[in-house]
Amino acid sequence: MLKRFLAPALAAVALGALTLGAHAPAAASTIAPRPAPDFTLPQRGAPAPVQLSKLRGQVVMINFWASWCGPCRQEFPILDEMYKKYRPMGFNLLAVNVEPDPKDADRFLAKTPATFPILLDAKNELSKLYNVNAMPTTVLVDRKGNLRWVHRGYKPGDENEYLNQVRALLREK
Amino acid sequence: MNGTTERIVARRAGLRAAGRPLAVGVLLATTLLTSACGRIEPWVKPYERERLADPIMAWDRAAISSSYLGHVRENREGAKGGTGAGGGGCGCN
Amino acid sequence: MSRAAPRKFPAPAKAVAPALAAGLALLGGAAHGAVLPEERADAMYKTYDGGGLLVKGPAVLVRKNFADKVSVSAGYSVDQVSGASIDMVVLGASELREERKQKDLSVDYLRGKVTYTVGVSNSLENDYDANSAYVSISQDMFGDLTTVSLSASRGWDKITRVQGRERTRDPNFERRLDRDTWSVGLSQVLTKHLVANLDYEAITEQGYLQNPYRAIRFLSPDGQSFSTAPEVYPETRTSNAAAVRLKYYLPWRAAVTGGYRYFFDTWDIRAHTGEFGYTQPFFNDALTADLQLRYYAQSAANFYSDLFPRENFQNFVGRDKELAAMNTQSVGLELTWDFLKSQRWFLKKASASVRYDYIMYSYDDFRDASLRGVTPGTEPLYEYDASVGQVWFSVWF
Repeated sequence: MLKRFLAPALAAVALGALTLGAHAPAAASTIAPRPAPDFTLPQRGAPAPVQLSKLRGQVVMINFWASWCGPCRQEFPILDEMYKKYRPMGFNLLAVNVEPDPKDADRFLAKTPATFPILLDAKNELSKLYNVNAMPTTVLVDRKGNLRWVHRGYKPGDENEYLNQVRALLREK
Repeated sequence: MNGTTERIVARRAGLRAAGRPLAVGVLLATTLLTSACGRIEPWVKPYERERLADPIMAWDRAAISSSYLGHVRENREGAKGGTGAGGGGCGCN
Repeated sequence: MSRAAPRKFPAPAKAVAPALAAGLALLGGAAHGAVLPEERADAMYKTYDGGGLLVKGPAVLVRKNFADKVSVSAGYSVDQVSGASIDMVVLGASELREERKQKDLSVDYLRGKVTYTVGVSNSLENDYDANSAYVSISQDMFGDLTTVSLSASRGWDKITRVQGRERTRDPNFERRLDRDTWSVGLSQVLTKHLVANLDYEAITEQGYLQNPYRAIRFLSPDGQSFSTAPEVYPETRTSNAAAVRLKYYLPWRAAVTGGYRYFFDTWDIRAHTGEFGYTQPFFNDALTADLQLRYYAQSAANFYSDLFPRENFQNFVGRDKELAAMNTQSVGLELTWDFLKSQRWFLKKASASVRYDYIMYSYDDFRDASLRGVTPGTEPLYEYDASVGQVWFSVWF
């Protein structure tokens, strides 16, 4: 009787070993500071495009999101709170929408408004430049324009890490 | 008419034995695939999954209905199995 | 034809345990990306009408998540069966009035890219008690383009027999059936618009695989009538199923699905299943329509015969039409109305759905033996149509 279970048991153990050994990309990684690649993107509802290098001196969080992405939708209200609270201290949040059709973002934002700037990356050029390999992806850039942290994915509780890192970067001169 | 009973011997271990190496083969292939995965770039990026994340692309939108239909089929047909599905979708996190 | 005391026939929900496994696989949460399945509750009323049998009853299914790591799903279903199938009519069994209750529970645990699932299920009728438990692991890999899953399941069935008008249990009859199932699945994103699924499943059964009420028939020496005798089945059966499915996103926003499954077992049954599906949303997603076409064909089990030439013809004999050479063709139409699309109270979304399936069964070597005054073996081949209706409400919270 045990013999019948042998093959499936072996398979389960093998897959278990696979999964334990498998390297899921770390949810948050610290980056050795290097300049964040510069870019210019149109902003939703604003005449002028936004250029990253012009925001030197501010702590910038770049969040790649899409209306079809559940965790992205989940973190939106949290990002909005963070933006409202830390804006006066020099914090900026650029939410980059990666969808080819801007109407999808419009439909979502009509129900879940946000006060932070929404940038449109319809051709996914910025996503490629920043090597986005998870949805959502959140990147933190310090006042000197260097990349400091990358968060891949979002799970409730991650906002605590965001807050700690943003506060640390704001304290830097 | 003499009553010789014809014998049919139900085939036993034959196919079961075939099943095991087949499955081991699949497992091996999967292991090799996953070890190679670091070298090949995913050709559909996470930000390109808009269509796949669309609810109409879900394999099963109402499990309560499909499981009953699966039950209706299996009760009246000789075949069973092979109906599991998954994957696709948003690919978030 | 011998007339025994009116014998009760099993509910059509026999061979329920393999169906349980299928149901479990669906309940336990199909492998997902590294996100838990949505929380929802569904309540359904279902009916099946065909082949002389009427089955109806409610079902509920609830899924709740905890701490964004754990997802629990619980389901309950009742089938009330009445009527008489063709086998019952032939054997002079009294009409059925029976109930089957099914309970399912499964738990998913998500850690990183891996989902671990355990599930249990029970199906209870007055003469059939089916239990099963399963474990499954599924992992997203390769940039979430690939999902691999492995499942192993174990079933324990207890088969008894009821007799007489009061349907009292025969205390001297109790049989067991054990089942081992294991399956491997691979889901692969092929392009931005195309997903593919491969599944392989092997089932090994050991024990009482037949039916305590069903009988075979054999030709009497004069060739003008038939007599019945109990079925004798092998005590083991190993089945294999391999399936491939594809789903493609059409540019005008619709989805088309195609699938094929090949089944073979140690009883020499070979079966092909082909499916085609089309999903089309309307009116900005307020209404979604699904059309499904399915074709199924199987060859007979090697010990099956509609009419054996004489008594004790073989060591194994069976006349279950489910093991005959047969085919089914079905068409299904489903309409879903999303009447709540944005947050109201604690509900994120709510919808109402209705589904109708029309299934045509056609047998190549099973005859309608209920006809009198016909030379056995020349009765018309049996066929019947069944209607399956389902109505359900779903809420997401």
